[in-house]
Order: sequence, then structure tokens, then C-alpha cells
Amino acid sequence: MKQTMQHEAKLFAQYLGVKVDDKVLLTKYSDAIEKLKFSLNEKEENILRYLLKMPFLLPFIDGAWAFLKPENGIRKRILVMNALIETQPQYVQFFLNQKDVPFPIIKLIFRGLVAVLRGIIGVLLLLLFGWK
Amino acid sequence: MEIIDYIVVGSGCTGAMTAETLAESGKRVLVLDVGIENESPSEVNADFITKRYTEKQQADFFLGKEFEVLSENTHPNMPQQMAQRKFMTELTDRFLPVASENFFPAESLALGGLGNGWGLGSCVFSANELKKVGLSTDLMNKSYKIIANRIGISGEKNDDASTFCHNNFIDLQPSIKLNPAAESLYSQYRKKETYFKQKKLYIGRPALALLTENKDNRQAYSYKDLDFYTNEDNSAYRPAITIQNLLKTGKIEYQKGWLALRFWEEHNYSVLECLHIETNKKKLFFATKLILSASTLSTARIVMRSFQKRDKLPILCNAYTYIPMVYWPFIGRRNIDKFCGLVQLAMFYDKNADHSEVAMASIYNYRSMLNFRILKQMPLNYADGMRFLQLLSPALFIAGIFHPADYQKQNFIQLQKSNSLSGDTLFTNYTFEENEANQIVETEKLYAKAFYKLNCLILSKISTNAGASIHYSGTLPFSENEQLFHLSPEGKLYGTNNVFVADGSGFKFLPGKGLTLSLMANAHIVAQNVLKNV
Ligand SMILES: Cc1cc2nc3c(=O)[nH]c(=O)nc-3n(C[C@H](O)[C@H](O)[C@H](O)COP(=O)(O)OP(=O)(O)OC[C@H]3O[C@@H](n4cnc5c(N)ncnc54)[C@H](O)[C@@H]3O)c2cc1C
Repeated sequence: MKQTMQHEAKLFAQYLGVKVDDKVLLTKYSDAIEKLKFSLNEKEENILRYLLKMPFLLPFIDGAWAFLKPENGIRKRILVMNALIETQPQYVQFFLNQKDVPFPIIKLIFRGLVAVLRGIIGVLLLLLFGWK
Repeated sequence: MEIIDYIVVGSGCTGAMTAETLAESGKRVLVLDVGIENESPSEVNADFITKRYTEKQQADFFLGKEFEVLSENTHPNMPQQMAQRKFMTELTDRFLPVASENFFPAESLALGGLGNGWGLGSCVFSANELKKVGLSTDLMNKSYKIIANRIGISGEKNDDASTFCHNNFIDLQPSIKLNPAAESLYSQYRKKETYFKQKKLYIGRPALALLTENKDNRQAYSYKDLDFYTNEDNSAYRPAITIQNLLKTGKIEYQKGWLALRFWEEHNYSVLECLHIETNKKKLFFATKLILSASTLSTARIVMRSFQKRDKLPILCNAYTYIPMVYWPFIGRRNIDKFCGLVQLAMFYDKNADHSEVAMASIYNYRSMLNFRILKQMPLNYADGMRFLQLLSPALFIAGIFHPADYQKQNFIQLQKSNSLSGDTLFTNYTFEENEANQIVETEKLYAKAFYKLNCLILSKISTNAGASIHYSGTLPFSENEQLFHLSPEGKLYGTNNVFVADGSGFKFLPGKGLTLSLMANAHIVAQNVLKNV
């Protein structure tokens, strides 16, 4: 696997909240990107380079793209990682509730608000960095 | 030269029923088909939950070995197609090319046709609907019963939807058990029934071509929630089951690999010219009677080529809206093992209160298609969105609304010369004129309000592209008067002596319900007419 692809896979896996040393997952990711031919344009490549250096920006930038540019190439790749995680048995607890969740509506509203807030900050960051 | 008694083109729902009826005569029946098959069907021995918790290789199963499910090169009207069902639409771009700006029909060249993936929703048409379609109520009601006995239909004998679904014309197996969320949604309806009835809305259990009791060599449904991936024990009716049974018992012959191009008539028989899809060689087949059941659009191509005319033919397609929604009492609920991914409830809007113009919504629980497909459409960052969906998904419903369709002048298909393998391309146009578009919006609003009343939060309302309902008909309308590109009420193609059409080509109106049970019932009637030598 190419070095950058490995970094990228780790970045996305970490962002989605799973262990980053999962070799099978990382290999599957690069295999998928190659087969799906999900290439990035020059601008997206540049942004990805920044994000690799500053991974804490990703939730904000991703949140902003979700509003403004859902078809963004980087988002497509994160979705691939998400689908791969969803289909690994060790991460199933991130997708299916084993038990009834206590106070689900409060948790849902909280999650939603956090996500929206991140999106708004992200929009400001995109404007600031000229990444729109 | 070998003249076969009956040649049936196509092995989908209509071809299979035609072949079965013709085979009862003991005469020689040959089914000609392109007949693409699923080369590597998935073997399943676990249910969805066990698979998700234990199987290391589940990505291959859910996403496809080539990650096909994530690909962007999907059919515009079947973006959600599973890897296991890709074969269903394979090669259609090469052999059934379409040029359009607004209408991309989903077609099939597979053994069993689109029936490999149909959602099993099986509604009879009412007397008023049948009249508009151009079919005899008496004959159809008898035929519905015969088809239901062949394929096996489960449903509720007596609820608010039963007059829309089956009107007690057919024998039913008990309906499937509802998922807990659907059960709860249904109880909300029961509490607010008066409001719904005032609005001419009725909810009940759908009739499904799904066994809940064993039948012949098929087993009862086992609630594994892998309905979009496999058909274990053949509990769901797929036309390939009929074809394979008829073949096993030696009642029909089946030749695959042949694309029917055109026909002509000589003396007392028909000649069918076919193209082999692998060798590109042409071959002639001869039949005393030729029965076209290649689907509404494919049959139209064959007929247009045969008459060597470039006329525009009319076309009908149900407009389709889907509404993802959250039934909030189920947010954060635990996932259960025994679950069903098929239609749970059906809601009917009877606009004129006489079953003449009904729009049906099929209500599904969303689960086995996985969360990432929904996540992709949410305006949230993926990390938070993923956690958000985990809470939301047990409460997620999708309602798909089918709107009735009448002929509109601007909608047509036309065969134009091209350098494709068949030598032509189907040019299609389908738009909605203002009145129809307004009616669609009204119906959508009414449904959205109704779901809100049932404690559902509407996430969005998605009016799909024309063609997305995958319900097509009306290219060769039924007519009492002999005219080219029309069918006699018996299904005979005017301008020919021995060519019949047994698919939906003749249907002059498309009720806003599933059409397939009616397609099969009509195919049986057409086959009987062939046998009677009408
Ligand atoms: C995902 C999905 C869900 C659906 N759900 C429902 C539902 O719940 N209820 C409902 O009523 N309907 C539903 N439908 C629609 C239903 O599947 C179709 O109405 C039905 O299958 C049409 O049957 P048919 O025999 O007319 O054509 P097809 O199924 O298209 O079969 C055509 C057959 O003809 C063959 N063929 C085509 N052209 C040629 C040629 N030139 N030469 C030789 N052979 C040829 C093909 O190989 C195939 O065997 C659904 C469809 C899909 C895809």
C-alpha cells in the first residue's frame, strides 16, 4: 500500500472512531479506492495534505462540505471507510444497538447539535482557508 | 425447418406465467430468453444480526467483491442495487440502449427478469381500475385466483387495506409478523382511524408473494432480514422458480443467450429472428404462435422493428416519491434478531372514494441496506452522523408512494437507427404536465401529513426521476378497433395472425399500485386465448 494512502486510511479510520492499526481495514480501503477509481482533483489533494497534518480539522471541514459540497472527493473516500467499518464484525457496536439506549432523544439532540455546530465552524474555516 | 407450437419470448413474471399456462396443454413450448443468471449466488446460513456480529468476510457480501455497491456507475433508477442483484440489469446498456434526457427505464435480460428483485407487493386492480386499463373484471378476478395459487400470496384477510390489496378474490396464507416498530406504527393508525378515513386514507397489511407456510418445494419465510440479498428456501416468489420447475418436469424447453430482434409471418407460422449475445450470430426460430413477454419496452422494440416503422409509441410509468422518516418512539431501541426487510404496511389514498384513482404507499423498516447509504444523504459530518444514525436507525421507515398514471401526449418512445448491436436505440421522453405534477405534490403533502399524525418526523420528500418506479406499461394499447401498434382485448397484436403480447404493453392506465400481479393474471388470460386459438 502506498505510504500516503496508508496515512489517509488511518486518518479517516481514526476520525470515524476506530483503531488505526487494523491492517485488514487499511488494506481493504486502498483496494476499494483503487477499484472504485475515486480519484481526487488537485485542490482536494492539497486539502487532504493539510488535513493529514492537522487531523483535528476534519470533523469541521467534513461538516461544512456536508452542507456545501456533499459530492466532494474526500467525503466520498470517507464514506468508503465508513462502509468498510460498518461491515467489520468488531465495529458492529457503532451501528447496531445491542440494548435499548437510555435517554435516546436527549442523546440524539445533543449529537445533532454538536454536528451542526461543527458544520458552522467548518464553513467559517473553509472561508478562512479559501477551501470552498 | 422445425416449427414449434408456442414460442414465448422472456422468462420474467409474465413469460413464466404464460409458459406455465401453455405447458398445461401438453403442446411444445419453447421459452427464448437472453437469460443472464447470477453466476455466484451468495450462500447464507445466518441471519442479518449473526452475520453482522460474526462474519469476517461480510464486506464481500454487503458491498460486493468489487465494492460494486459503493460505485457511482449504477443504473440511474436503481442506485441502491445490491451486488447479488447486479446480474438483473447486466448487458441492458449494450443490448437495450436508451437515449433520453429524462426517462431511463430499468430493464432486465436475466432469467426471471426484474422478478429477481421485485418487492413482492401483490395488489389486485379494482373493477374501476381494470376498466381504465382495458381488462375484463370477470376474467381478471378468476385469473388472480389462479395466479395466487401458483405463486403463493400471504396477507391479511380483513383489514382496512384488504379491499385494495386482494378484495378476497384470492386465497391467502397468513400475513407476515410485523416488526415491532411497524406494529407500533399500526397501532397509532388504529387509534386515529377516524381522522385517516375522513382523509380517504387506509392502512393495512400488504399482500405479498411471500410464503408464510410451506408450499410445494418452497419453505415458509424465516425472518432473517436478508431479503434484498438472497431468497433462501424460495419463500419469495421469483419467476425463475416457475421456469426451473417447468424445465425439471419436462413441460417446456428453454434456450438462453438469444435476443429476439424481430418477427414476420409466413403461411401459418411466425418467424422470429434472434441474435446470439455471445457469438453475435443470427438464427431464425419458427412457431405456430409467437408470444411476446419481453417486458413493455423490450416488446415494443421488437414490434417496432418488425413493422419497420418509426412511429412514436405512448408509454405509462407511475411517478414515484419516497419519504424517509423517523418514528420517534423507536429511537435508540435495541436491534432484534427476527426481522423482515420487506414491505410492512401499505397505505392507500382513495382520492375519488371509488377505487378508481388510488395512490399506494409501501412502508418499509430500514435496516439491512446498512447505515452508510443513509449517512451519505445526511447534511452532517460523517463521524457525528454515524453515531446519530445508530440512535436513529431502529426508528427509520421509508415510504414509497406510487402515483397513478394516465397517458400524456408528450410522453413517448421511439426507435431510432444507431450503431448499437441491435442496430437501434430507444429514444424516450417522459415528463409530467402541470395538472399531473400538481396532483403528485398534493398527494405527497397528504401523505406527509398522515405520517406526521402517526408520530413520524419526515426527513425529506424525494420525487424521483421518471422511470424510478420500475412500473411501465401502455406501449401497445388494448383496442377494440383493428389498428397497427395496438392489441386486441385478447392480447393479439393487430396486423398479425399469430403474434400475441402477454406483458404490460396493452395496459392503458397504470393504477398507483404494484402492477405485477395483474401482469401475471393478464399473461395467463392471453395464454388461454392462444390455446383457444382466438
Ligand atoms: C427492485 C424492484 C422492486 C419491484 N417491486 C415490485 C412490487 O413490489 N410490486 C410490483 O407489482 N412490481 C414490482 N416491481 C416491478 C416488477 O418487477 C415488474 O413489473 C415485472 O417484473 C415485469 O415483468 P415482465 O415479465 O413484464 O418483464 P421483465 O421482468 O423485465 O422480464 C423480461 C424478460 O424478457 C427477457 N427479454 C427482454 N428482452 C428480450 C429480447 N429482446 N429477447 C429475448 N429475451 C428478452 C428478459 O431476459 C427477461 O427474462 C419491482 C421491480 C424492481 C426492479
